[in-house]
Amino acid sequence: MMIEVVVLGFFQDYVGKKKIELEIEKPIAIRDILKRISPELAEYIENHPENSIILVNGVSIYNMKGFDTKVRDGDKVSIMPVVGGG
Amino acid sequence: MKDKPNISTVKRVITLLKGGWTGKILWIDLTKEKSTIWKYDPSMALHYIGGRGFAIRILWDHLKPGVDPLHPDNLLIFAVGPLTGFPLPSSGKLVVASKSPLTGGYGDGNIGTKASVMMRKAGYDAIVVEGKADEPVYVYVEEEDVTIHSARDLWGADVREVHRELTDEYGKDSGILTIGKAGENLVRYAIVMSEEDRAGGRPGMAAVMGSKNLKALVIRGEKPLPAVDEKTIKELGTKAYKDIKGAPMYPHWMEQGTMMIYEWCQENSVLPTYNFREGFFEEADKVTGKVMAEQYKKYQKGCPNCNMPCGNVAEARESYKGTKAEMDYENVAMLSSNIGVSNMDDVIKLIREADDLGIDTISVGSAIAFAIEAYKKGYLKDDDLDGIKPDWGDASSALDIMHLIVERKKFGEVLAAGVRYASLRLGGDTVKFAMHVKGLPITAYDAHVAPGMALAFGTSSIGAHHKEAWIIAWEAQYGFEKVDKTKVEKVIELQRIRGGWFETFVTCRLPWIEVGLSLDYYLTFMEAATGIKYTAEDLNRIADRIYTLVRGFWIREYGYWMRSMDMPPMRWFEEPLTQGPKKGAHLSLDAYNQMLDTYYELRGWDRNGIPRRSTFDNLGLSKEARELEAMGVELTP
Ligand code: SF4
Repeated sequence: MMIEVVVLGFFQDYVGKKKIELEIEKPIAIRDILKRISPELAEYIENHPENSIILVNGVSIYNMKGFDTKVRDGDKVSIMPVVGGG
Repeated sequence: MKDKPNISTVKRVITLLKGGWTGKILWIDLTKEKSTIWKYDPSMALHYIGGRGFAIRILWDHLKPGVDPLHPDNLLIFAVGPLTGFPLPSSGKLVVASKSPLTGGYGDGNIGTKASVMMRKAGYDAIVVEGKADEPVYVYVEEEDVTIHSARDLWGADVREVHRELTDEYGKDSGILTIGKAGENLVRYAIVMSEEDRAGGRPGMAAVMGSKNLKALVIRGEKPLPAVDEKTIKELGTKAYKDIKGAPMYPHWMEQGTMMIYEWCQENSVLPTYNFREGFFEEADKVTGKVMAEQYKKYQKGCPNCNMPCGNVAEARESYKGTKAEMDYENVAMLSSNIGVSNMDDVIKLIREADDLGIDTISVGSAIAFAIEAYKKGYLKDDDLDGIKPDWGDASSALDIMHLIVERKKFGEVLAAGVRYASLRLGGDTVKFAMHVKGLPITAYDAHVAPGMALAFGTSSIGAHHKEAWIIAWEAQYGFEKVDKTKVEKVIELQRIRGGWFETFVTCRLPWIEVGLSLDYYLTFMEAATGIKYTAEDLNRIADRIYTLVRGFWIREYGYWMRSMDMPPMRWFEEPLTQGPKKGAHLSLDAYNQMLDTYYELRGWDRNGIPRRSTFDNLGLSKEARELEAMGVELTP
C-alpha cells in the first residue's frame, strides 16, 4: 500500500525533499508517519502544533482525529508550516 | 494652519508625550509654497498611536467631505509611528495615505524606506502635503528647512533614474520617495516608490502625488530619536534580533522570503490563476520560491533596521537577460499565474517594468488579466487595445497593455481607472470577473475554497488587501470548509493586530507573522519608547476605533453604504474551480452572508455595515457620529 506525502516550506529542511512515497502495511496514524519521515520534524510539530498544517486529501487533521487520524492506501498527506506570504 | 493648537495644548505635548513621538507634524502647502510645523494635540498620539491612525484622524478633521481625490485640496499624508526608526526589528516603515482616487474611500499603504527613519530624525511624526504646485517639483525637507525645487528635468523619468539623480544630489542615506510615469499620468493605482523597488500605497497614492505635481519628497535629519528609555530599547532590540535569527524558519525565509508561499498556495488551490478563475496553475512548478532562489536570485535587500531582509532580487537569464527585479510573492503571482505566465524571465521583466513606471504590480496584474478575459470573450476589440492581441501566458502583450494603461491610450484610459470602472463601462458579465472589492483589486489569493480569506478581502479597510486579515494559513489549519464564529473572530483579531498595531507603531509585521517573534515584545517596545504601558486590550481598542472611523470616512465620502460593498466578486460564488485537486469548489453565498452578519455584529455595526451610534459613542467618536447624522446618514442606535 502506498501513500504520497508532500512536504512544503521550511519543513523540507528536515526531510530534504518535497515528495515522498511511503510504503505502508496497514492504515497508519499521522503521528507515526511524521516519525517515519523525520523524528526531528515530528518533534518540532509536536512542540509547535499552532505552526503546522497537516491535510489528508485536502482536509485538515484538526477536523478529523488530529494526530491519530489514520491514513490509508492511496491517500495524500500534505505537511506544511503556517507560512506567511506578507 | 487649521486648528492650530493653543499654547496650553502645546505645553501638554511636552509634558504628556515624554518620548516615542516627536509631537510634530510638518504641513506643506504646495499652492502657497509654504510650510508650517504643527504641534498636534497629544491626545491624537495617545488615542491613535501613529501611522494609519494619524492618517485617518487627519483626513477626517482636515479634508473637506466629498473632495475629488485628484483635486489640490486632497491631503497626502506620510506618517510614521512611535516605534519607527528605533534599533528594533524591521522598524524602517512608513504609511502613506490619502483619499483614494481608485476607490473614492480611505486609502493607505506601507512602505519600507530610509525616508521613514529620516522623517523621525528630521523631527516629525508625519508630513502632510496639500495644494498643487504650478509646475513639476520635488520637496526637500532637512529638519526645519523645507525647500521646493523644480522637477522639470525629472518629469517623465523612471523611478530608478529619479532615485539615482536625487541620491547623487542629497547623498546615499537620504530618504527618497518618488513617483514614476504612472503617477504623473494619474493612473489611479500608481504607487509610491522608494529605493528603486520598494512600493507602497496601492490605492493610487502616487496619482495623488502626481495630481499635486509632486515628483518626489526627499528627507534628511540628524536629530536623535525620542526614546524614554534608550537603554531598554537597545537591550530589547538585541534580544529580539537574536530571537529572529534563531527561529527555525529563518534560513528558509532568508532563502525565499515571501516567495516561499507560492507552492503552498498551489498545494492549497488558492494560487490566483487566469484572473482568479482558478486556484491551481498547471505550470506553477516553474515559478516557485525554490526555483527563484536556486536559479535566478542575485542578492537580497531590505528595509532599514531589518535582519530578515525579504527583497530578493532576481535576474533574468535568457529573454530580457540582465534585467533585475525584486521578487515578492504578491508581484510574482499577479504577474505570473494570474495572467498565465510561467517563464521566470518574463515575470522578472514585468515586475521591473511596473516598478520603473511606478504602477502597482498587483492592480496592474489584475487589469491585464481582466483585459485578456474581456478580449477573449469579445467585450474588447482589436482597436480598443490599439492592435494588441492579449492572451493567457503571453508576456509581451501583457507588457504592451501595461504601457497602454500608463500612457492612457485607447482602452488603456479606462483601465487606468481600475477594473471596477472598466467593468462598469463594458457591462454584461464583466462585472463578475472584475476582481476587486470597493474598487481595489484583490491581492494574490484565490478564495474559491477560502471563505475566511474572502471575508478578509470583503472587510479590509482599504478595499481588497491581504495586509490586514491575512487569515489564509490559519484557515488551512482550522479547516477551509468551516464558516463559524471562530473564523470571523480570527478575521477581526488579525485586523486588530496587523491592521491596527503594526500599521500604527509603524513597524513591519513580518518578524511576528513570518518567523514568530513574540507579540509581547511590542508592548515592552512601546513602553520603553513612550513611557506608556499600553496593554493588548488598549491597542485592540485603538484598532477598533481606527476601523470604525475609517468605515465612517467611507460612508461620509460615499454618502451611503450597502453590504454589497463588503462582498467579494460573484465569480467565486458562481463559477466553481475546474482545475486541480479542489475541482468543483466555490464559495457559498449563504455562508458568506452569515459570516458577514457575524462580523458586523462583533464590530458593533448594523446589518448594512454602518457602525451603530452606540459603537461610535463607546469608541469616543460621538462627534463623528453626529457629523454623519447631520449629513443625513441614519445610524442605528
Ligand atoms: S521583512 Fe521585508 S518588508 Fe519587512 S522590514 Fe524586512 S525587508 Fe522590509
